[in-house]
Amino acid sequence: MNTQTIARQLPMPGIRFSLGTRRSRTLCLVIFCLTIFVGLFLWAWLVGENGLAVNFTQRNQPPSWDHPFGTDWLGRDMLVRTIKGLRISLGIGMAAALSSTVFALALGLAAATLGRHVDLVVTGMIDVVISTPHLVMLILISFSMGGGVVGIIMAVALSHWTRLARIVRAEIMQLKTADYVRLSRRLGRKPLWIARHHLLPNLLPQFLVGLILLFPHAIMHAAGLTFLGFGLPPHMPAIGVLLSEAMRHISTGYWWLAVAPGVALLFFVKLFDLLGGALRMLTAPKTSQE
Amino acid sequence: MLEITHVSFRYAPESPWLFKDLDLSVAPGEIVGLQGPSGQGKTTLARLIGGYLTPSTGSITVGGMSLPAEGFSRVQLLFQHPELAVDPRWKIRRILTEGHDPSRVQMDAFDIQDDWLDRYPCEMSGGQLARICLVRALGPDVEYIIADEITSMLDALTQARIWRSLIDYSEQNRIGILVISHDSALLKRLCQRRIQLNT
Amino acid sequence: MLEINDLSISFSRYGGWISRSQLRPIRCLDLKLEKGQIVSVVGESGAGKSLLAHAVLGLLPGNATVSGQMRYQGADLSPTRIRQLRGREIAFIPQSVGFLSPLWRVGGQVARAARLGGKDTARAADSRDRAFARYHLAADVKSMFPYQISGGMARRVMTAAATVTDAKLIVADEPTSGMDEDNSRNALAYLRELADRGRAVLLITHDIEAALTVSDQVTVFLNGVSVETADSKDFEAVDGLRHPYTQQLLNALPQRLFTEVVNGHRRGAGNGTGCVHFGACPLEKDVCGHAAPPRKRIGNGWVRCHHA
Repeated sequence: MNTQTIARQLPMPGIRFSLGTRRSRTLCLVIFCLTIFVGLFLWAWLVGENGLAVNFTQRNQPPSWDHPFGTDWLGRDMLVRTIKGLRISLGIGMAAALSSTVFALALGLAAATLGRHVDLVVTGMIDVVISTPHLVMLILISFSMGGGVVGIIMAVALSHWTRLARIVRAEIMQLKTADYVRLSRRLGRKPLWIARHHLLPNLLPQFLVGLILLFPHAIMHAAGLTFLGFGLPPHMPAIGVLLSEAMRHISTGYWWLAVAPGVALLFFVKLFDLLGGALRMLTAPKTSQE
Repeated sequence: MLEITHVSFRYAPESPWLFKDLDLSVAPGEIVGLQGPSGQGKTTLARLIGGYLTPSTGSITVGGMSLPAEGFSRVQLLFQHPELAVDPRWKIRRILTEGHDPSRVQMDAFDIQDDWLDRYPCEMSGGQLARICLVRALGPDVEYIIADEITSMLDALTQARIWRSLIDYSEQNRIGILVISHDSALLKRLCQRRIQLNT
Repeated sequence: MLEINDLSISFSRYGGWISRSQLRPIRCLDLKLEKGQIVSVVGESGAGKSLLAHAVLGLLPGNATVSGQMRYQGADLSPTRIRQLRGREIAFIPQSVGFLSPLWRVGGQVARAARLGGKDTARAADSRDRAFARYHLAADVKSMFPYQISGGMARRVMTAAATVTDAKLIVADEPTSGMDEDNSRNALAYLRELADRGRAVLLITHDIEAALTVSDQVTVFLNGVSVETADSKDFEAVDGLRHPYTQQLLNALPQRLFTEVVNGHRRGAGNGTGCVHFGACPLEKDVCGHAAPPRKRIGNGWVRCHHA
């Protein structure tokens, strides 16, 4: 009597975990990304200063088994330099992204909850920042902050909060009109209580995804600033610094000096992108069940 | 006594009046029906009385005192779509206790089962959510309930069950109810008095 | 024309991060629909009944598992066949205005439905105009956007979109929800007219009173199982029906007794064995808790009850 005329293959429900569903695969991707990031930071920390030893007998070696990324003009191992550089660049990028989010959250909340005038001021600020060319703004801010790590972090933070602030503002404005939020007020709850218990939790998923997706952007810009020489002292070899130094040697054919750090940076930025996309898929109600 | 006096409303100065100089009253423990074609402003009136909109003219008072502009109201509105009236991220226990701590008597009267308390709204049916929103609204200081089409999306059995419980509760506690519905048979069963909203 | 036997639809749902559970909103559904007929599926509001519409139209989400038999005009209704027939021979009148795209004018959307149903542009525009006239939609409604039209008009636009093709099977999901009596009567009258002109209509609703005014047969759906199917005229008197739930449902109507005699709590659909009405049935015995009742043919319909 029961014929399977239309049936889709699904793993048996009794098994708690399998790779059959998109959700499990996405979860695996998230764990994979996080492991790589943690691994990178651990490796950079463990290597310490050893790999950066100057060794004039090993100058300008192309990639080999001893030196997978080759060596530079001072004989330093490029792999170690790249790892350390990545750690610095990622660290700066993440710090900048996190500072950005604090700013974005505060301004977005203010715009959505403190009345029309505040909203007009904040959206005005957003419009100004968005319409200013990125690079000009970054250079100006980091220069006026005196360069260095702090200068770069502030520069990236102050030019990247706008997108997230818009998301926060839009989400909260929509949530404020929800029946259950307005009803909460009529049941006697105070506005601050409502913001903490209704607005913020419902805001969190969109917010987290926006935050993670900010990282690649922030990291690339931090690398760009250091490439232009705006800030980091030469003994802090961020990826941007590595790349700018490599520029001098391009004509001499030492391609690995530029390619290795560049590709490594791209790889990690892409990883953040994937992580953000995966989190978005997991938190959106429609896709989270597949 | 819930009194709506000379109330008119329109959304903006350029929009047409939804109703003008409306007078309505509900006595404690009375069940009044409000009927009218759809799109004529019944839900808008419900929101006005519940305090979600401000009337353009006229006043809404309970026992002679105006309803507060913000904050707790002695008149609670029950929305037509209970799924939109609860926070989707909250557990049922939290939703139920948002306004007040429901008593055992209330939970039993409306058939709220204990194993619901740890579930989420997406796991509940429309009828279950309607009852949860009801119990949430029946706080000790609440005197009037505006029921805006609360059972029109539900099947006949669930509808009968909810209304029986609500009528009993209203009799015991002298809660006045304004029932908004397009179902004249239902209003005939429930209400002591019926009003037609005509524009 | 449409025959469904033992249809079962289940979903795997994620509770926490990894643990999965199975939900089975439809456990056992039977249905038979001929051309010129309106068959209604009546049941509580919830995810169950709309899933039937989505299954017939091939709109189920990726995490759904379907089993059972669905036959259209004698042949199996496989996913491939549904894709070919959808929009041409099988049309859908959805529940909410949200199914209309907010960015296009409604006239254009209906004409597009006609084109997707196989008509060329000229004939599509012509069908669209005739459909609009038939449902008393003024000519200027063609150039309006969904947000500009009232709920009743939107309902008529969606009916027009479904009927502008020559679809033989129309699935209407909650066609009267949220409507007042006049609009409700009109919406049902349109469906009756469609059936009288030779099409077959599958009506899904929670409002049994509305279903009875236009249907030829009504199937009562409870907790995932179709418990009874009977001709509409059998519903006039409560003893014309066999299943205790159907009798309770009718007695609960405000037009009838407005009673809700319930002995206890019905156990939810999670319960795998036994009758779905066990726990709230005035006639229940031990056997009802253990064994699911078989389908018994009675007159023009059937019933699933141990006591029938």
